[in-house]
Amino acid sequence: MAVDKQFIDGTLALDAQEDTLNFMERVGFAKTINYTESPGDHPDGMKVNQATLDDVPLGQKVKPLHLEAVDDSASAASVIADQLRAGRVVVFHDTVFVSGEPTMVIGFR
Amino acid sequence: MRSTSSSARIQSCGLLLLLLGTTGCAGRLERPKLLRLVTTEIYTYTTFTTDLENYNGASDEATRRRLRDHMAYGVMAEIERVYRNYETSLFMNRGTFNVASDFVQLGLSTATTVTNGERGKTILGALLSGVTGVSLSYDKNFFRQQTVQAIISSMQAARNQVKARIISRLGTQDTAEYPFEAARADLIELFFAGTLESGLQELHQEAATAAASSKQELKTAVPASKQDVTNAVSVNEAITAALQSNNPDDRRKVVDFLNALGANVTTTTPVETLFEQSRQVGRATYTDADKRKKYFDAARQAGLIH
Repeated sequence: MAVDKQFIDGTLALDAQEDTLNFMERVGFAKTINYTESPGDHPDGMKVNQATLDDVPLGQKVKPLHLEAVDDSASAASVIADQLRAGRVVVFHDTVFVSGEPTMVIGFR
Repeated sequence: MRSTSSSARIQSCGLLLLLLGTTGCAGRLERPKLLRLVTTEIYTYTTFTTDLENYNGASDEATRRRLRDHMAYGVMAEIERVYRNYETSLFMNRGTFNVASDFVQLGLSTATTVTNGERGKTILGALLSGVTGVSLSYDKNFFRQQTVQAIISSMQAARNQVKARIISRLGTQDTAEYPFEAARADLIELFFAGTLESGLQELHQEAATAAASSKQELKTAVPASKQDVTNAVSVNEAITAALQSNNPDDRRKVVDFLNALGANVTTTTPVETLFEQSRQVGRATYTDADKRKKYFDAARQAGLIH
């Protein structure tokens, strides 16, 4: 399966980024396997995140992606616990730009 | 015990001296002196004019080619000599060299490796006779950001390109295809590739190209609305069901959908290809709002979604 990298505007709010990623996963028949702030210098100081999408085969069910922002390690533990109780599993966690600010984000599915 | 302690002290002192020596060297990084072979003119103006006369008077190709090559390689060696001297002086004085102000002081149109006064009756004087140098439109702010090392690297890269072209043409083309006049034009280009103007121009072009390409690469996805996501889920499910179904009418919907978006498929196209095409038309909507609208319009018209 091919891996594709796409850029997401880091000035968007977290729910808008979540919707954008879910949209791309559906129309592109892919699933996000990593999400991080885009490395390197960008023109005009743009704040950009980079999603890594992996193609899925025909018919494979991909659960919707859900993003949660966390402030520190303490809240991360409770966020993960809440999501696990809701039947979701952690897909990735990394620092990404949310509304232009670097934020620790955990992706669940 | 005592001997162990003094041995350790000696080792420590040795290490300290080694470190001092190393950092001292790093702080006084210098280039080795150039060989006389490099600093002295070998292919003289007199030899060159004799070669040129003989070349113009020669009737057989073998003689003409030998003389052409002799002149071209001789002049190339002189350009190399002058360039190495110039590069070394730039490198040695890099700490005090201010690109913005010194470049302006050198004069925009004459800031070449050889001043007009020095040219005189030299090979380079003959080569550059009637040549005024390259003109450069410049941005002072851009110049201020450059280091001497960057300019030298840029000049060297430009020179290597021209030099490779000359050597290749001398090796493969006769004097009808590549007469000395053509070689002279390339040698002039080689000379000017080793000038401040060329180095800065090259850097400026590289920076502009890099900025343009990075902007192009950084096309971010068009933000999706909740409705976009709902529609995308519907299209995804409809395509998946149609391609997994044995019903030709279902597959027809996918074919119509894809063809409306510019694909060229039929109901006999393999499922794997139809699926891959569906993926491609979907990806095209990531960064293009118009394509996204057309995607959903086509899905509705084909009956994949309502």
